[in-house]
Amino acid sequence: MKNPAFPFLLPMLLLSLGGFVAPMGVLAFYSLSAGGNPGLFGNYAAFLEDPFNLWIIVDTVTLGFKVVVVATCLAVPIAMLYWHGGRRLRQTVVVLALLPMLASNIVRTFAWIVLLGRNGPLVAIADALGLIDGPRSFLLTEGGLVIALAQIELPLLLLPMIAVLSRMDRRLVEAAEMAGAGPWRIMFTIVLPLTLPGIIAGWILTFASAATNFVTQAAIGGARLIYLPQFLYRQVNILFDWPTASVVAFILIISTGSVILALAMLTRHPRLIGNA
Amino acid sequence: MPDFKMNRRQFGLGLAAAGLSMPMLSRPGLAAGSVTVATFPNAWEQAYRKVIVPMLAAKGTTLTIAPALTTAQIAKVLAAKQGSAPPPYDALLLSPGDIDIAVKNDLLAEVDPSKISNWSKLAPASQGKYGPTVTLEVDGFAYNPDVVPKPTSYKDLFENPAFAGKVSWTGFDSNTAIEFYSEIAKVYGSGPYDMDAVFKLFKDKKDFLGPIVDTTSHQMTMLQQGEIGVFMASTNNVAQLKALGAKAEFTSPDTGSPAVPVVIVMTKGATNPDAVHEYMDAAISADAQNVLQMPPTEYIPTNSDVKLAPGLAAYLTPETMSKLVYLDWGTVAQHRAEWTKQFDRVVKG
Amino acid sequence: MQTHSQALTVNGLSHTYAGQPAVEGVSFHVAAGEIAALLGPSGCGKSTVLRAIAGLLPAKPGVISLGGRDISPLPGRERGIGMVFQNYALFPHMTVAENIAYPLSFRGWDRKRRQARVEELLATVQLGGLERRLPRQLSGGQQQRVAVARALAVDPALLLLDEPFAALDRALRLDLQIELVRLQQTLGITTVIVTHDQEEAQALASQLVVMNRGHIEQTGTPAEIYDHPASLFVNSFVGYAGKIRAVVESASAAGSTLKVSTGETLRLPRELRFAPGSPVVLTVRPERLSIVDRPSDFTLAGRLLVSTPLGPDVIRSIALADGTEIKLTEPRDLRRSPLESSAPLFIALDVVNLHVFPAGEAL
Repeated sequence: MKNPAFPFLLPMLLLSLGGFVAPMGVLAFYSLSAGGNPGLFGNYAAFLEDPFNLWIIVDTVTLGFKVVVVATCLAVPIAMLYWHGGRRLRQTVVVLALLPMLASNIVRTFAWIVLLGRNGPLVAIADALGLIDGPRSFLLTEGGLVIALAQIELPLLLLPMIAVLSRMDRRLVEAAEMAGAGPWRIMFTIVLPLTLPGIIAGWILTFASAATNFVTQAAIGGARLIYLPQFLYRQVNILFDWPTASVVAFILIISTGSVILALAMLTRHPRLIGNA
Repeated sequence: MPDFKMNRRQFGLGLAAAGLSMPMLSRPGLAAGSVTVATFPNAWEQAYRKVIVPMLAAKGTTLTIAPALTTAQIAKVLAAKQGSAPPPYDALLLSPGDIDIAVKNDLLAEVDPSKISNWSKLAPASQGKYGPTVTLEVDGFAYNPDVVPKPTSYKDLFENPAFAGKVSWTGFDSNTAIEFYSEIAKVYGSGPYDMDAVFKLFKDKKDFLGPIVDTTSHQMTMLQQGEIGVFMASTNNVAQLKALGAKAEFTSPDTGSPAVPVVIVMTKGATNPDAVHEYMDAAISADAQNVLQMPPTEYIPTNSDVKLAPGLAAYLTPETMSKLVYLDWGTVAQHRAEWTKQFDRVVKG
Repeated sequence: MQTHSQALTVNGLSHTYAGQPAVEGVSFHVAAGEIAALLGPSGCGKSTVLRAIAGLLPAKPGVISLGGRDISPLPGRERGIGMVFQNYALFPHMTVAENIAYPLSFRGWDRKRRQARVEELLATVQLGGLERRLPRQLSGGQQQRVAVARALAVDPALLLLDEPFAALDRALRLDLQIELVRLQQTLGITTVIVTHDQEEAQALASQLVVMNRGHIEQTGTPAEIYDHPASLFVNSFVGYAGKIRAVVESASAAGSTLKVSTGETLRLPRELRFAPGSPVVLTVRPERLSIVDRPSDFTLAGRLLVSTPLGPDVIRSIALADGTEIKLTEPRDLRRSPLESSAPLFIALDVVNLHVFPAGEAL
């Protein structure tokens, strides 16, 4: 090995090889070979032939996208607040962004059960605004799930954005101002484009986390909204159908992984390199 | 249940299983005079820690309680077996449906009644081949009287407008749910396993269905929040809700309460069978069951020396006890995967 | 390319940072088409003045007028000023052409007109062919030229440059300085440069504004400032000056007598405006000193410490009798035998031109 850093990378490489790559290989082998379905990809074919299952994949990926969109709508104003704020406000924003991460996902999920419920504040507000007809519940609805996940995953989007913003050269904004740009033009032509590497990193984390967040999907989404993680859990722990479980596991990895890969490729764009 | 008997020739499974059973590497129960047992999480786990652990400690045996849902218990023991590793637990806490699965996969060892001094205090039905029945889970309607009137029958839940949208259901993941679907199949269909009748009912009575979720504990939260009015629960669930200060009552359906024995069983390859027998003996002792039948747990005793506490007697009227309904879990196991699949398609939003 | 060059006047400008005055009562005037340099050590407030002119900081109180028009109430974007920032502040996600076109996009010009203007500017700064590069693909000098082109894009009435050469190699600086002066002269645009480098300021500017601790020490042409420094600070900051402590013994129209810290007495053929007994500091430019063989009324005894050749000159470090060190430059004379180190010698002071400042001033 020519790379002088190699000895330092070795523990990490061994760990990921033994703890991730090897088990994944075993799982891949198992998904191809076990079970009663004929052919190398028999298990996959059996799963994918069912349109119901295909919709579960589509729903899972769509859920991830919806959460990313809502989380972005929440994160951008907060990030801008950080950007424009003084030292005290900046610290406050960082602390508030980090605070939810100190509570476990389960706690945050159950908080949302209260917030989204029939007697919760969101229903009361929506009712008062005339958005809904009489009291109902946002629990067990996709909209409620997306809102809850967007809040729960928000730090994953906000923190990379703040990391990029905190290092951004203020003179770029002044240069834009001297060039004649107003505050909104500066935000859309300079600040946000330069924050894009952070935003994309946040999108990757948010998407991956939202699409695979078993606890929140099950607790807020209920049993009528079926996503791959719940499906996988059931195959493993309730039905003991491990061949199908390994197939679902791989399909989950491939479907979310390809989205993540596509987002990661975006950051390789020459215009984005080096400004994060 | 496809591929239920897993093929040992496939080398992959062994490794995968070894991965799943990793937690056992750190189990502390390998020392002499110690035993690691699985129980249900939360209420059960806490009660056993408080009551059974000191009893065994007095005899010099260290009891380690590892909380796990029944299905997870089986999955872990199964994984260890496929990986040729010793079982992660010496004893499990299972229901007959789970025991069927465990027996089919050769995960359990028979017990020696001569090593259990309280064995004779059990009714013959509770003297299982793989272990003693420690309590009986009696199920019925848990309801919030502030939200709905007292439900009496399944027809009530699907036809009385007072219940429309207020009754929560779970999928076939839950054993409790299956008992009720079987009861509904008797009322609306041709017999206990006529699930098509249940699915048809769910389609026809969409407006009556309340929230459909994954687990009973989720329903407990929703009942507390006033989100739902009724769900299918055990007396223990209701006892727990009451202990938490929630407005919850238990009532039996007019057709009788489904009941499920809860059994301690010994795993095959348990490191210390004598200690497991001691544990079983303690769990069915009058001393333990006298405590466990009090709130918050209110576990129905199986030891004939134990006199039913007044709190329990309120639920378990002689009428209720005479109309308990038992399910054939072998038949359920055969159909479970198919029913799960169909249920998903009926309810998917 | 023609510009409408306008005169800049700054009057009574003050600014406070967090309650601390950063700049106080700064006033100066830059004639249309001239280059002025704001010169001073770091933290002297020169950048604050520049940013106030640009409109990035409020001038409160103070009036900044351009071409006779008070621009103080206007925000930066409406002042018609082009600015080159320290490290250039090029937009890293935009190409060279996009960077230069950025100011044009706020003028309502059509695409064709913008493109033509960008091409014109690229030609002006000699960057033709690089329009599609990203800033990080350019050398430091090229980046600087892009920044200049962007600042000039909208024909500003005033060009501000904040340490435009600080990020460049020394070797490259001179070329780019010459180029900038040529460009400025071609365009005739009024220009203000902020720099901490006095050589750079003298090379570029027709007018220097020397700042120290938030206020102006002196304003004038480079020659005026060099030859007639108004304060000891200016004298030491602009060019090298040796400093010798002394006490005034007598001062009259006929001449003045100084008692130097070495104990020697020095006669100056001019009147000093100091009362006898005042402690003072004499400053001597190295090129105005010479080595002589014998003492006189205007020499001090010294000892050579080291000689360093520098091009056609030689710089000699000399210790006076009390240990005070001063420098002296003289042409390298190959015919003369080299001076031995520690050789005793006498230094003749240019008593007509040497400056005398009160000793109370910080050195």
